Amino acid sequence: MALSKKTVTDKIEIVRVKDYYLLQVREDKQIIENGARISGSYNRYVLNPDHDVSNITDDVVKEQFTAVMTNSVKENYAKFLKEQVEENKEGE
Amino acid sequence: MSMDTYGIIGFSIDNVGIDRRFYTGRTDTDPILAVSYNERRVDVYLNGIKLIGDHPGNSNHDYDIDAQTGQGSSITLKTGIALVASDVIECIGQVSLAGNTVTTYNPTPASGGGWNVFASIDHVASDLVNVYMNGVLLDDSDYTLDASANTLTIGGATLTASDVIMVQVIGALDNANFVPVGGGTFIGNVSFGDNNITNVGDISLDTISSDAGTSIGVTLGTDAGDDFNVGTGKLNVEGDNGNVTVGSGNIVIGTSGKGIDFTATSGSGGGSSSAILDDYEEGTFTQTVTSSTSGSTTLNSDYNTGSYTKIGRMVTATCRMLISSSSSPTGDIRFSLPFACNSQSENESECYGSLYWYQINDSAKEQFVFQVVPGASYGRIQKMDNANGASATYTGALENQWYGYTVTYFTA
Repeated sequence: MALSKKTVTDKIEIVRVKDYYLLQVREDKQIIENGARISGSYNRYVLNPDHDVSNITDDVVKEQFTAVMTNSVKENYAKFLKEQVEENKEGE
Repeated sequence: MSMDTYGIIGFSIDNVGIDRRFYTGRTDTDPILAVSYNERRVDVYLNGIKLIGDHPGNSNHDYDIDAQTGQGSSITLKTGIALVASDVIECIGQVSLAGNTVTTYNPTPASGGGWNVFASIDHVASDLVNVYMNGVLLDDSDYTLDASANTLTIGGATLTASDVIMVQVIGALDNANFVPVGGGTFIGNVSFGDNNITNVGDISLDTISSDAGTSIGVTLGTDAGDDFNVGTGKLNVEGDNGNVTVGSGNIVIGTSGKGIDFTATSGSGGGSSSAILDDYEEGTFTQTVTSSTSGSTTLNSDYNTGSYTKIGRMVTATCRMLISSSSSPTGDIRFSLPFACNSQSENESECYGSLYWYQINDSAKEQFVFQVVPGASYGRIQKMDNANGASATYTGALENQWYGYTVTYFTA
């Protein structure tokens, strides 16, 4: 049987940092033979609360993102980013 | 009056065995004593002296055996002696209820064979045979059976006419829990108490379970080669030095948060999570570059993949990228990372790594490092020293050049 490839999202981690949450997503790029995964590699990305949800193509990830990223979470993250900018100005 | 009942080892007491009862405290004459027997065979002892039984030819016997067998049967003493309370009467009867194929002989000596040779003991070599002399079960070494001649020879004793020999020939057993010497399938549980099983060959098992509150111990010798080996080398524990070798396959951590506990070597308190190595992962991540205020930066899609290795909470990420265009980016330049960075009260988890910037056009000759921001999932470029001796985050646009970084940081 010929080899085939597919990519699946095999882990979605909801990580709390400060007063907001991030989604750490892991994809498994699989090499399949006779229906069994014989090899593969991981690829990761992080979704911040300010991520454009319309760009999320994985339905499960999108559902998780929508559920976690409430307005409160987004506001807290925006506040964190603003603090970073202020901190940089102080550093200058 | 006291009474005890015993069975022969290996058989249910309701199937084949010996019914043995003691009677004391009787003060009557020629009492009727309850027993449970078959085959009209009961031996009776008074204070250890065997009484004369109701055998053919013994008209002057000391007890009668009633016609009923099994439970409810009885014997009646005929000694004519008034018992005293301290007298001990022992009754031994053979029990062989329906369903088994026990054949019992009260044989007479073989003609011309001497007192110790008995003929017509119909049996085959595989039969289980019990031989009793005067009610006592003999050891196998006390007699010889000849299956071809169907004879029994009692050895080591000179029998007399008053001796009583009883032979049980047990053929096919109906007890499914009996396993013959030649092997078979045992049905049901076997308890050895706290005793041992020794001289074991191969054992085929589904599971091994310990008693509550106890462990299953495997004791090994201390010489080289005294190993505990599973699956022909798949897992091996050496008895002499304690080394554990996984010959093939992986050590799989089946529960999140569990791993290898280094408590004993690190000096951490027992059960401390800070001494448990609970994660390892390697992979890639897609590098993106964004700006904190506005604008955008585009990477060449052929050169936008980074690599990471995560060991415990520590991540090392590295990436080499080619920026192909920028559209008025302003603010911090943020490089995506595969994991969010830990955040602590004093930002002690803020980490720095090396930065590569090909053909940098920087007349101020500033020095740059790659900074991971605590609590964020991105890094940025930090100027260590500009012309005025101050430091700051690099903002604005990057040149369309090659960039790279390597950084190690702690995950959230």
